[in-house]
Amino acid sequence: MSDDVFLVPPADDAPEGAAREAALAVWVAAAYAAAPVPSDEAARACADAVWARGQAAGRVGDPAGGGRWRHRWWWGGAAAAALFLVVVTRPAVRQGASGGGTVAPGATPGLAGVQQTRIAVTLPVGARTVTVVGDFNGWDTGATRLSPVGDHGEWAATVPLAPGRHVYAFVVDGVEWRVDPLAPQVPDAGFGPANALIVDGGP
Amino acid sequence: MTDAELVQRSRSGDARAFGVLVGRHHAACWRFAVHMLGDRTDAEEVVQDAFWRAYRALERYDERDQFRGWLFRILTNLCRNALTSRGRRTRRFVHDELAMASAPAPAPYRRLGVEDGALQRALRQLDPLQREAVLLKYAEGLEYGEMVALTGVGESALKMRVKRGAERLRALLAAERKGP
Repeated sequence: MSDDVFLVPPADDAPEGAAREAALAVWVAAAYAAAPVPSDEAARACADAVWARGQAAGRVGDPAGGGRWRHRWWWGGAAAAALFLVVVTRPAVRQGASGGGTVAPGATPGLAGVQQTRIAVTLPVGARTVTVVGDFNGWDTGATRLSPVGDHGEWAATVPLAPGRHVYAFVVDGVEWRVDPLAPQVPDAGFGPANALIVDGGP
Repeated sequence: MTDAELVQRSRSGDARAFGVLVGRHHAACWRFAVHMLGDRTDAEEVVQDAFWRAYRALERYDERDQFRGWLFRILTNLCRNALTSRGRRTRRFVHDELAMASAPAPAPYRRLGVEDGALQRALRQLDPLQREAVLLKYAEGLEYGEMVALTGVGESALKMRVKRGAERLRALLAAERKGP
């Protein structure tokens, strides 16, 4: 029996009772299972992002009990704040203009392969705020603000990224989600309009 | 290697073990989340958050539980939260004309996907709690006992949600089959 048979919704004249419920259950299960899912690469990116976030919070390698977690979380916050200070005070390296050069890993790897990566975009002049959202910051529209660079509409930020593939987009004035036309966009089973980048390195 | 062993190794700082654990369950979580939320971006966000919360709570994971059930308990709660907070958000995608013109192929995210499927369209019209119950019962194939443990809802209430959800779903699918 081919999948196509299952992908036809059940008719409303299906038999009554348990057989009717079973027919619906079979169809739902088949349609559900046939839905495309993200690639293994997306799963790896998710794992890398979570692991890197855990590292930044000082969690990895210390099998402390759950009761100590809250305490350690504050340490992670302090570490993140310190990391932020480093990021904003150290000039980022920018690659050449190939492909727009909108993403440039920094020269110095951070914690366990995490790279300080510059993300930039050029927008029509007039944007009031620009943030970058992606798998690395939980798609939080307020987490990572870009700063204006010069007066030609360029905005940039440097973010710590774990090795692997990352998907991101820009949010203008808090409401408009935009992609950078000069950066690679998400291939295949994408998650909406978004750019993609790959950070090299790692074990 | 079992999930419980992978959890043990992850607790000890083994990134590879954690990666394997995520790899085993990522697709299932994403599939559930995208059917619950009807939006890929939201699903991706919620799934990553679920793994993050699971990671933070690994010390509290009881190895007598199935890891997948434990993870899905986190995930279903996050899906509920996302559905609750969705109304407060204003997310609007702008399809950048220049981006579209410079893309080498038709925008990949517009390809046929689950959002275009009959199941997705019908699910979107169900009450969220009915949608959750129908998905857990029919799509994930859980027994009612497992659903009780996962949702914290009584069995009779779950049976009612599945029954009413199934009736509504059947009617919606039948209407779609007939066309406008």
